[in-house]
Amino acid sequence: MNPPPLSFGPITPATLAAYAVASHDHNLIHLDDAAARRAGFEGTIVHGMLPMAIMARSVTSWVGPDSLIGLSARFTAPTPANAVITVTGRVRERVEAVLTLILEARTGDGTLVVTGTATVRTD
Amino acid sequence: MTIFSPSPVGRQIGPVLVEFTEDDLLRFASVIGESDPLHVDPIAARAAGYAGLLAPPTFAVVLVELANAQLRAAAEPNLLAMLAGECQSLVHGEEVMAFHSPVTAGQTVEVCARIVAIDSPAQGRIWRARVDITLSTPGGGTLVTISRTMLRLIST
Repeated sequence: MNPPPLSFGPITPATLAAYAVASHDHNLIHLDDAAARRAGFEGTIVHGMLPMAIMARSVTSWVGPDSLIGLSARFTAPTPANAVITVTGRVRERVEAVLTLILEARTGDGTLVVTGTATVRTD
Repeated sequence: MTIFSPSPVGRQIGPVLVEFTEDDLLRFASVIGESDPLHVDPIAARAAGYAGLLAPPTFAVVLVELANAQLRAAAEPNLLAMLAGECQSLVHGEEVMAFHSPVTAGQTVEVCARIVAIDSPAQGRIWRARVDITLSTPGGGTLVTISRTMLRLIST
């Protein structure tokens, strides 16, 4: 059995402004189109840690909020503002009570933006 | 040859003591759509045996930002200043987190970070810096460890 897919968004400029306040990450590439373009992006991009937070939620909402022992994410493409992301996960292995899951976050057009793994304790 | 000059490898920040409130956790949970009672209901969290609201896993990086903000406010070197140039972009490559003990509201957390490696996987067009970060109770047990890779993209 795998965790159910979890969608989040659209991640609007207002979401990014709220995430900047909540996370104290005020990097302008997430908040200001001109600054994002100067940095080589087409427009503002989502804080990478936001899809990672949704990845964590996709796992903890499935196995419980205090069961996560490891979470890793590799940011493979920028997530543009206003995207909806969907996190999917599948169990790769179980060693006794510890599960390892492979996670993916994709935007609505199918672009893979974050890959990750989670390890959870199920006892 | 590195664009990071002088090389910051080996440089450390911390220990920096950071504090956060229940409101900080509630604000973070709200933005990421987290509604589990352990993360949003202090009574439920205490009933489950925690000292206070349980921080969502990736709140750990907020504590790192708080430590950076404190250093910035004190005009001391911080991680971003060590790695970022004025007109360059610095983006996240990888984040690897290990959770050792729960982080709960009302705790004081000690943040230490060290730049452990810098290399260029794309012949000078991308520079990659690895930073190891440890969150612990003051003078005590490890809460969360983070191995972070930041990428600095050089526009051509």
